[in-house]
This record gives sequence, C-alpha cells and structure tokens, in this order.
Amino acid sequence: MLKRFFDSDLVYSFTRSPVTILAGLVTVLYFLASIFAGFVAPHNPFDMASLDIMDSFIPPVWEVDGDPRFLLGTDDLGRGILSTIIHGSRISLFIGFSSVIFSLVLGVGLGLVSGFLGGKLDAFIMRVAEIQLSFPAILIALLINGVLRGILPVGQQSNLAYYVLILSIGVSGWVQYARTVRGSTMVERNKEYVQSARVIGIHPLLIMWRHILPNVMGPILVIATIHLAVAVISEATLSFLGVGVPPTEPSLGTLIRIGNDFLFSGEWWITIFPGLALAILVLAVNLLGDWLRDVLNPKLR
Amino acid sequence: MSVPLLQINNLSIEFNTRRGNLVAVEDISFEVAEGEIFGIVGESGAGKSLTGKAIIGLLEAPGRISGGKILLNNERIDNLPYEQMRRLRGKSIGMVFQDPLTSLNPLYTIGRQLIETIQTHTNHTATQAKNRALELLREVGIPAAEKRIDQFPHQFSGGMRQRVVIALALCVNPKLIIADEPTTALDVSIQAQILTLLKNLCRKHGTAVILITHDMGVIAETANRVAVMYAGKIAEIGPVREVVQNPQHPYAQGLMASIPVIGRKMKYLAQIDGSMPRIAERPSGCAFHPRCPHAIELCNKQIPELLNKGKTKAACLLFRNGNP
Amino acid sequence: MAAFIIRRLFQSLIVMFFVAFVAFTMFRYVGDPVNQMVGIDTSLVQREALRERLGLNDPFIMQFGRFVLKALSGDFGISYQHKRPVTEMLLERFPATLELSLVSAIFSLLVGIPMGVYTGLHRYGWLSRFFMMFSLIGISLPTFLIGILLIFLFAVQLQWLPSFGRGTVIEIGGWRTGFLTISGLKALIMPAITLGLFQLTLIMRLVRAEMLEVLLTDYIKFARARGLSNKAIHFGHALKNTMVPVITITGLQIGSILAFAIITETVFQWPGMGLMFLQSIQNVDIPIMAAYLMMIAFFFVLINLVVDLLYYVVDPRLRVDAVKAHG
Repeated sequence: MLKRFFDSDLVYSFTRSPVTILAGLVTVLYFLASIFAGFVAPHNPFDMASLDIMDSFIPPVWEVDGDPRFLLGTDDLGRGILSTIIHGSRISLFIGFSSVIFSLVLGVGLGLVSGFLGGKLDAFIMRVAEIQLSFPAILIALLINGVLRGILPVGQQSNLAYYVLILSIGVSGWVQYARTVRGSTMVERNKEYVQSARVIGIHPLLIMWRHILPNVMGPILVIATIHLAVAVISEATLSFLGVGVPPTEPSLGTLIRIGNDFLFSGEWWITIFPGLALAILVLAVNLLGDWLRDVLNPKLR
Repeated sequence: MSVPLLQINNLSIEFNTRRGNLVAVEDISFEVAEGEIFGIVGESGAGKSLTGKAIIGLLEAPGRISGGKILLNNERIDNLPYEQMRRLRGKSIGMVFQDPLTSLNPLYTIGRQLIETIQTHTNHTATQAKNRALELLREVGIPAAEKRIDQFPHQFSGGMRQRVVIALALCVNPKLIIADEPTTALDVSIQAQILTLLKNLCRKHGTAVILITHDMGVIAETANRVAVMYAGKIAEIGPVREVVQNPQHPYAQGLMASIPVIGRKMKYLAQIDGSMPRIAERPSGCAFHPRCPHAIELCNKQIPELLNKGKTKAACLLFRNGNP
Repeated sequence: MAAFIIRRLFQSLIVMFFVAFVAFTMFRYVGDPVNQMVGIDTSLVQREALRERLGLNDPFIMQFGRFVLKALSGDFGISYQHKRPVTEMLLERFPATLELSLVSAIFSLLVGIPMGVYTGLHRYGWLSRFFMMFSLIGISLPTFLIGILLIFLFAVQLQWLPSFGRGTVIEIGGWRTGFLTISGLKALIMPAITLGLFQLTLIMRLVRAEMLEVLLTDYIKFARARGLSNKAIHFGHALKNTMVPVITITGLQIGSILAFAIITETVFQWPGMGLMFLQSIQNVDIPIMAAYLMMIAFFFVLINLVVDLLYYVVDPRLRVDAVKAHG
C-alpha cells in the first residue's frame, strides 16, 4: 500500500516539481507556525500589559531607527509586526479551515441527499445552488454577515465574530462540493448493489457512501484545497472591509486594515508585511491546489 | 520500372515517456504505387494509425519518427520544415479521419471549410473556389449542393458528413489519400456506399489511397495490396487476393480464418487465442510467438525479417530457409 | 428560438422572485423596522400605530406582495441611517460604479483573451510560464491588497496618481461622468486595474484551458491535415470554438465585477454603490442592503439573458437544437 503510494503519479509529479515542493514547504511552515504560535512568536501581541506605547511605529530592523527586538517593526500600539503576523495567520487559517470544513460537510451532505432522493427536493437544492453560484461568493458572505450582525445583539458581535465569519464564508462555498457529490451519487443510485443493500437491511445511503467516497475523494480534495485559499482571502477581505475580526485580536486582514491608515504617513511596514504574508500563504495553497488538480484530473493534463 | 509514389524505408516511431522510450512502430518498409489502393490492417495498437500520421507529418508529441525515411515522388518528406510540410498536406497528401461527426468544425458552414481549403492551396478567386466546392459536393454525391453548401455540419447525417470529409480531402486533387478507418464510425449500410465512392473517385482522379482499417473485409473488397501489421511490425505484405486466400504468416492465417464467409456453415467463428501485447510488454523475438500455434524455440530469440514466400512476403522464422 | 427566450425569461423571473423573497425576509425580520424609524422616546402605543400604518401586522403574503409591487415601481423604502429614499441614493451613485466596472471589464477582456490565446498556443514557452505565474499571483492577491500595493507604489511613493476619489466629474443630464476630465481619467486608472486584474487572470486561464482542449479535437487535426495555415487554424477554427464558454464566463464575470466593486470602491473611497452597500452592512441599514441585492440580481439576470442571446450568434447548432436540448 505504502509502496504503491510512493510509486503513484501523485508522488512522482510532486518530486518532479520544485515549485510544488516549495509551496508544500511554505504551507507546512504556516501551519506549524500557526499551531505553535505561542512558542514561535517573539512576543505575545495580545497581552496588553506587555505592550509599551514607546515601542510604537518602530520601523523594520534594517531601517535607520530599527530596533533589534522587533524584526519587522511595530504598529501603532507597539505590537511587533512579526508576532502579530504569526498570530494573525493563526486566526486567518483557523477561520479559513473551519469555513472549508463547514462548506464541505454542508455541501457533501446536501449533494448526497439531493442526488439520492432526486425529485423536487433535488430540483430545489440545485436551483438554489445555481442562483447562489451566479453571485460571487464574497457578496453572499457579505450579505450573510450583514444579516447575522443584524440578528445578533450589539454587545455580542465582536465575541461571536469568528463564528459569524465561519458561517458567512462556509455557507457561501458549499455549492461546488454538492454538485460533485450529487453527480457521483446519481451515477451510483440505480446500480444493483444499492437495491440489494435494501434487501439485507442496510440503509442504501450508507452503502452508497462507501462507493461514492473513492470517486469523489480526489475532486473534493482539489476543491477543498483551492477553497482554503479562497476562504482565507474571503476572511481577509471581510476583515479588511471592517466586518470581520475585531482589531483587538487581529487576523491578517484586520492587520492590513489597521496598517492601511498609516500607509500615507510613511509607516508602510504595518500594512505591507501582513499583506505579503497573506499573499504568500494564499499563493502557496493555490499552487498546491493547482498541482493537485493537474494530477488528480488527468483530462486536464 | 518507374519510381513508386510513396516509399517507406525502415520507418520506426517512438514514444519518449517517463518510463523510457517505447517503440510503437519498428522498422517497417513498403511502397505505394500511383493510383493504387494499399491496405494496412491490424488490431488497434498495432501501429497502423501512427504510420498514417507519420506519413502526413502529424505525429503528436511525445511520439516521433526515430528512424527511417519517407519518400514522396522520390523526395524525402519526413524531415521537411513545418511550413513546407504544411503545404504538402492537403495538396499532395490528403487525409480522411475516422469520425465524420467530429472531423468538421461545427461553427463553420461546409462551404466555408471547402473554400478555405481550396484557397489555401490554389490561387482561386472566391467565386472560382465556390464553384469548385459545388463541383466537389456534387461529385461526392450530395444532393442539392447549392443549398447544402451554406449549411452547418450538424445539419448533415453521418454518411453525408463523411462525403463532405472526402470532398475536403480531395479538394485540390492530392496524389495520395490516407484514409484512417474511414467507415468504422458509420452504419453498416452506409459503409459500402462510402467505400465505393472513395474507390471510384480515386480511380477517376488517379489518386492512390492508403486504407487503414481493422476490418479485413473492407480491405478484401477495396484494396489492391495489403500489409498486415502486428505489434508495430509488418507480419505479411502482398497482393490482397494472395493474402486473403493463401496467407502465409501464422497471424495472417489466423486473421483470415476468423472472417466469416456467407454461405459456408461454421459451428464456431475461428479466433486467435490471447490478445496483442501492449507496447511496453512486447515479448522478445517474434512478437507473435506466445500466441503462435507453430512457434519453435528460436521464435523468442530472433526477430524475423520479411521473406519472400509464394507471392507475398511474410516475417516468420518458419520460412528462413525457404521451407517449409 | 422564441420559445427558448420565453423559457429563459421565465427562469429569470423565478430567480428574481427568489432574490426578492430573500431581500424581503431580510428587510422584514432582521432587526425591527419600526425601531429603526423612531426614537427611543416613542411610546408603545405610537409604535403600534406606526406598525399598523406600515402594514407590518398584515399577513406575510400581503406584505411580500406589497414589497414586490413597490420594488417594481422602484421604491425600496427609506434608508434607516440617512433617512432618504434608497432608490434616489442608489441612482446618485450608479454612474460611478458603472463607469468603473465598464472600464475594468474592457481592460480584463482586452488583455486577458490575447494572453490566454498565447499561453494556449505556446504551452511551454517561457513567456507562457511567466503569464501563468503572473495569473497565479493575480488570483492569490486579494483585490484589496492589489489596491493597497498600487496606492503604495503610484500614489505614496511615486505620487503619479491620486489615491482616492473620482477626480473632477462633469454632470451631463443627471449623469456624473469622470471620462471627460484629465483628473477623472487619472483617478480611474488604479481602481480599474485593481478591479479588472482578478477577472483578467480568470479569463486568461479559461481561454487557455479552452484553447488547449479545442486544439486536441478532431476538426483541428483535420484542419491541419488539409494544410491550412497555423493562423487560420488558431485564430479562425480554434479561437471561435473557445468563444462559447468564454462568453458564459465573461458574462458572469461582468456580474461579479459589479460585486467586487464593493472592495475596490472601499480601498479607493470611490463614491459608488458598492461603498454605500458596505456602509449599509456596517450599519445594518437593511433597506439599502435589500435594494442593492435586488439591483445586483437584476443586472445578473440581464447579463445572463444577453449571454444566452450571444450564443445564438456564435453557435449555429443552438439555432436549431436549442429548444430540444434544453427541454
């Protein structure tokens, strides 16, 4: 099994593409830094007590007024940019990842039900999917976000910001998963083993899932990878637009929003470094997604 | 004796893949005379289509000609620069593809596709080209050509589309047409019509045809000479009548025995046991030996050459000393 | 053909109806419209009177019907925050968004299609690799970040272009245009590029993928076998066949340009509808959100209809089979 894995096209093409290896390494690096942010980051930017307003607006080390304690400089509150980036990536990745899982579960579930039951429910779900698909995900996410914030009591909004974001981004992305799974389910639905499953008393959906799973694993993995990049961008965009993560515990998008105010007064590092961090993360994930799609989808090769 | 229209000398075709070079066609030679219909028959994967594509210079990467020469009117064409080869295509060598449904561009009228081809190779004005196109459509038996010329491919039936494809291949009277499975995708009832059309047109214009097919019946009815290909090599080559009635190579014998004859009662249809090996799994020596009923010990060591045997040539070690 | 168009119109109506339903539900049940309209010192009795007067106690269907009827006559209510008719506010800001979207759509098509064709034809050339890398970066950079980087480079560092606003606008018959002044045009450059870049990379990748696929088809092989020139094959036969999917996606993209304008307008403080929509989300100003949603949906539906009609122009097969194929 393991030997077959290492002989597969997947591994072969991975080892043959330096760009993909690099993208893989960068992605792993981001994940590790996010998980162990508390150990990796030189400072704890959320600990208000440790912040010193005298440390604010220090440029990066290589500039004239740089301070060796803060490699990439500090922001208006004296938080080290490097530390806020590491903690910000953690939040961005957490929200991105949770949104992807949310979309995946929702989409796979709806796709399975839709493809299996067919009929009016299927028509309805697919109609909604079609309508949703004709609008950009970010618009859907913004709307859901706006509605949720309208429903929630004002005081709770920043506490629940993560969940609002995960829900808005998650709901805006289920369609592709659903379509893929639905297609596979419809192929399997009428096969004889499904009928025989009824006879021996196993729910057909259960046994079908076993047969559908191998067919949809590849495409779903591809969709999820590319979706992770999209979700991270969506989170950053919402936060940048001021309807996402609050500035007290900023994500990458929030950091860019904060820094944007100082761009004109010359403190460029507050916004440019988080921006680069975001771009590199998304680029690496996108590269991985592209590679996966090319390998798992021989038609496109 | 005059120079043959087309000479293939020791042609080999290779695929360079990550698992090494795969030799798909190995060291084949044959000639096609002017006006002749030359059949190439074999199972899928035998290399017959590749041979056709190599002649017209349309092998697709990673496939490439790795050895040998192709001569048209005694001039090499296998190493021509792209632009020169392009001018030959359609003008000196035409091609008819297997599937008429997909061979025509769905977004252009057939008239436009005809006129475009004619004007590429001649100095015809638009009106001249259109007249020529109409003439061609009538020649290939399309009724109401004036009306049909402005229609799109999807408005034609499969058989009609193949007639259009033939008209396109014959546009500027090439000396040679390569017909790759021209009737395989058609209904049986239409197949004969198309074959007859192709045969008559080529006789009329003196065009030679290389007819590539897996259907020995088609060859028997249409071709003058035939090459039987197996696993990238020519197993037997000779006049159709001889190869059909008196095949020498054990593979050709098996192939002919498996053609059902109307009127003769048979209990079972004869077949050759096993299947042709894939490119990467070809056995040593004679590629046919694992399936050959007459195989001897030498067969898995030595690659047989084409030898004269009766009125045909066969590549079999059984004939190496002029016997049996 | 007529049947097909009628069918599409009908489908569009369903979509609009659905969106209206969502918009109305939002409008009616997110927050209390009455609370938004009156001050804190309004008595319960007064509130109830207002509630009755606004018809908020009527059955759901009646309220929805009224909402649709009003929407059809262009009435989307009063903004909670600005206390002005929403339609009036939207119309005021419409020219700014439309001009921006139009310019960036043209930009992304004019640059994206040639780049896609080139990368499709010269798959392994170094320029193609560069374009592909460029497109990946274009997809990976969030729109707002592109805007910020452009501002940093051209407004802060080089000081060539203005960083916000529309520049000087000239009003012609109620339409405020930035096309007619130098400062208006200069102000348009960065927002248009920011907004168009993402679409550009999408269009380029799509054209490339379609081109690669079409080049493998039998009719292209047959065209080669007939000795047609590369020019005729690539730009005649191949490109025309890639156009059907490209038109589809482009249509959708123009729609999403309108939506992405929200982000671009925020970055550049561009006084358009998107900026207003964003502010309405921040302030939970539901009437504006609902109206904007309806308007965007209307544009999407309209664009989809135009796209369907364009198919007929490009693909002769549809002219005959369309009704059958969709039936």
